[in-house]
Amino acid sequence: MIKKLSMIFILFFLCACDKTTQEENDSVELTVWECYKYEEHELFLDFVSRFCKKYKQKNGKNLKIHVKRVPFDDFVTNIKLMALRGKTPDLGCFDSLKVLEFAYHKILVPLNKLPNFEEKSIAQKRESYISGAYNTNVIRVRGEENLYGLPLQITCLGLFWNRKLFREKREELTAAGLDYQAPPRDWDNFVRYAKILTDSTKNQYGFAMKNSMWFTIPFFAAYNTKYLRWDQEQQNCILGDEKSTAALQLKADLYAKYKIAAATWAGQDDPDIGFQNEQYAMIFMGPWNVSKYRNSGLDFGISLMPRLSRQQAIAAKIIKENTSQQKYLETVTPATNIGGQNIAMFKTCKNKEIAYEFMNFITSTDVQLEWCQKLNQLSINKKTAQILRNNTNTDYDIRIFMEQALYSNAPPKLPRYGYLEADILNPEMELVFKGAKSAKQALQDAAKKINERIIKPFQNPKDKD
Amino acid sequence: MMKIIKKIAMYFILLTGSILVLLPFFWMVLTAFKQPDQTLKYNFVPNQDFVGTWKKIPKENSKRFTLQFDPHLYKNLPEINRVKVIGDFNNWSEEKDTLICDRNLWIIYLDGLEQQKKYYYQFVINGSIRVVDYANKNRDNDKSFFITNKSTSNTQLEDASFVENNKLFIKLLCDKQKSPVVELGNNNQISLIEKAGYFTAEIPLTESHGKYRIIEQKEWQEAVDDLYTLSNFFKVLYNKDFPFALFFLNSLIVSTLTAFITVIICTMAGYAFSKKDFWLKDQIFLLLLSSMMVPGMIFMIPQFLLVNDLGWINTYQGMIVPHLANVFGLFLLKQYIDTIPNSLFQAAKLDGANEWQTFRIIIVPLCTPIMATLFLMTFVGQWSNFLWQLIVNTPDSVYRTLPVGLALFRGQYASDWGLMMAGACFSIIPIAMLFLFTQRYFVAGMTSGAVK
Repeated sequence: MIKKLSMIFILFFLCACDKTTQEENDSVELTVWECYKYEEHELFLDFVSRFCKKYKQKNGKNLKIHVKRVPFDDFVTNIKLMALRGKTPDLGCFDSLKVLEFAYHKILVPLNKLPNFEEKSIAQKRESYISGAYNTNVIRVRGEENLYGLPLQITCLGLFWNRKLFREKREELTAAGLDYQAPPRDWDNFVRYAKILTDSTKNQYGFAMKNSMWFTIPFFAAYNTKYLRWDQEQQNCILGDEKSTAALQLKADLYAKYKIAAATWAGQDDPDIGFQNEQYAMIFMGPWNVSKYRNSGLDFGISLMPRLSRQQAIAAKIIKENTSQQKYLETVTPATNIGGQNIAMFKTCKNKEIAYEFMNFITSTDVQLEWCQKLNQLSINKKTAQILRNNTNTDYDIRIFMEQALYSNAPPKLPRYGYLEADILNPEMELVFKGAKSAKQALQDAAKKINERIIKPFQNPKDKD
Repeated sequence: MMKIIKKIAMYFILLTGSILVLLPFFWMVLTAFKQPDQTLKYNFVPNQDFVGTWKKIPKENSKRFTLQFDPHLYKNLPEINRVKVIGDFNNWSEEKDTLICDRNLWIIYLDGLEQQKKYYYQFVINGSIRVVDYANKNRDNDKSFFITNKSTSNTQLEDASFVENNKLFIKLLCDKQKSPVVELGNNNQISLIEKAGYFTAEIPLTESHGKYRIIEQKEWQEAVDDLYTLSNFFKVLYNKDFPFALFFLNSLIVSTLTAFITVIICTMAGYAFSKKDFWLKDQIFLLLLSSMMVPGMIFMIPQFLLVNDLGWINTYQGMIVPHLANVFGLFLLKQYIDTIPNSLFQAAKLDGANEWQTFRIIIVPLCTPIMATLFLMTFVGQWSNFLWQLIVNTPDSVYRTLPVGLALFRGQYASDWGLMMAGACFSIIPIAMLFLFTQRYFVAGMTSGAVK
């Protein structure tokens, strides 16, 4: 008897598992996948319910939006498998860099082709958003440029500097004519500061930074590097030119020539850990770690990234020798990279117009203002960003990052960003840091691989939609 | 004597090796108990010293102005993580003048102020909350002010140390201090003496080495609480967005059923391959063995497509059935059953036992150690299986397992290490218990055949 019962029990577990989704005929349903943290998730649910109420008031129909949390790292895996099954969600909120990949695989809806896309052009829509964040959604796939998503969250790197370590070197910094109460404003001064702040015998460094492509974008952006060029509908990676070489050389010099940066590739602590343990005086970090550092009692400041000095800018032919100071400050910006999340619509979406309405709602000025004020985050909406920047009740750190975000720059617009970064650019750059290759050679080699392995396969695709 | 030394040396090496091997485990457990802001810091031992900030020794007859911010005077303020001062002296800019946290107070020394001048100022808390200085009675509406020739500080200073006649006179208000000592620039520590409401010390300037700081003693409990907490475990257990019990139960069901059915199938198949004769037996066995040479990841996509076609996404079948065909288990059981003498089976046959009875009476009891070993190995493998359980479950699935659930604590740029480690601590409990109860069989199974 017991054996039979246990068999039934096992069979029950094996068979009682098919889950069916109930659909109500009188209501519209949308599914949104997101990978927010808890407090963000809660607020997102609140906005979703507000939108549903608003929709019912306006249209007299019930709208149900199912929000599902997906682990951030596994979002792409899940989407790819769902795409294989033809069951992707209607909307997804995910890493802004992944929009490109999904757009190239033709699983996203071009928003500018929707009937309720009210703006006259993609460029006009850009006016409402921080352009760096918006541009991550404007993608040219096989010659045709479309808008494949809207920005939802923005992050970028800023300069974090440990006030305590600066204070401890007060005399040396002052003697060198540097202000110990302020961070460096340009790269020349940055090197001077970092030299004084470095004491490698104590494993203390003026600077530390990750070596990945994403963390190197501020250097490339400082030199206005163009990664790609279109020649007669053919895309080409042009890394290895004068500007990109100078940018990578600047970063490599921090390790090899000036010896002021901790070499994480050689086993030294990660910048995040080293900064928390007061080993590194300056790091590039984003707003996501601010509260953690503040709450741990670190005495640090945040400022804009260093810009190229006048001499560096002249050498790189970005400005001329007689360029005025004002023109120099306008042209040579404290450039940074861009990250964050976008919201995009998948082709399996049955209610595209409603989904687009929701996308506009969630990125609107009022919603963004409430979101940013409650969560102390940066805004992708231009008006919201302006309100936040001008409001002294906004956290000073956020105001700094809002200003920094204006100088944000996207990575090369190519599919397979993960592969591009991990398998092509990072290893090549590491060879430069180790002194095994020149910056020019490494970038030219990388460009060759990018052209062959990434651009070419997508330029000659098999016609399989 | 030599023997004892050898033994001690052996134990020492074993102990060191064990500690090295277990370091990640210790790190996991300690991190699970750490305060959220301390998780990636290197300190694991609670520090009873309440260390103040290093202060530069002031010059004799120094005209610097000291601003002191006492958070205890303010109610309804959130937890303070930074204090700045904005005022006429810095053009109301928030960039530079940040106060230094010196134990319970925040202080800043303002140099280069003009004499006989009135300066208005405000404190800025956590980058956005502007407050007047409650400790200073001089106020105009929402701004406080001081006049430089009349005073050198905004309030009675807790640390009123000064330099006179080439000596540093340490002078600390008594009421807020807990047995303080002063540490000098050369790391020498000097105890302070209580005198007329102040803790004092007199130090020749040459011995001070340019800077000093005050160190107080914290209670042990306070020091422990500053570093460790149980909150991570509670957050994991009672979190409405993280149904821990459901994840745990799913993991338990999937691992137990997979291990149980795998053992049954492998034992039966092992028996057949070992003791039965059938057409192409050796070739089939070799073919099965050769499939072990192919990395498991290669099968992932075809398996997923099969599971999808069968409609098993978001089901227990989808999570369990693909793992039942365990060639390694078959090999293990076959090799073990090979060692059982054929005479036993012949005797059973003579006694009239049928196949099922032979299997039940001879195979199962004799193979218990190896079956337990296979059960344990399969259970552990399935308990920590992440990728497969991730791809056969959509994010809304109620069948998600613990490793898939724990991934929710990983964010785009930062991970919640405390919560992840607390979840991992819970996840090792079933495996530890299983090892505890089956270690006798496990050891027997692993060593069977080692000694003839």
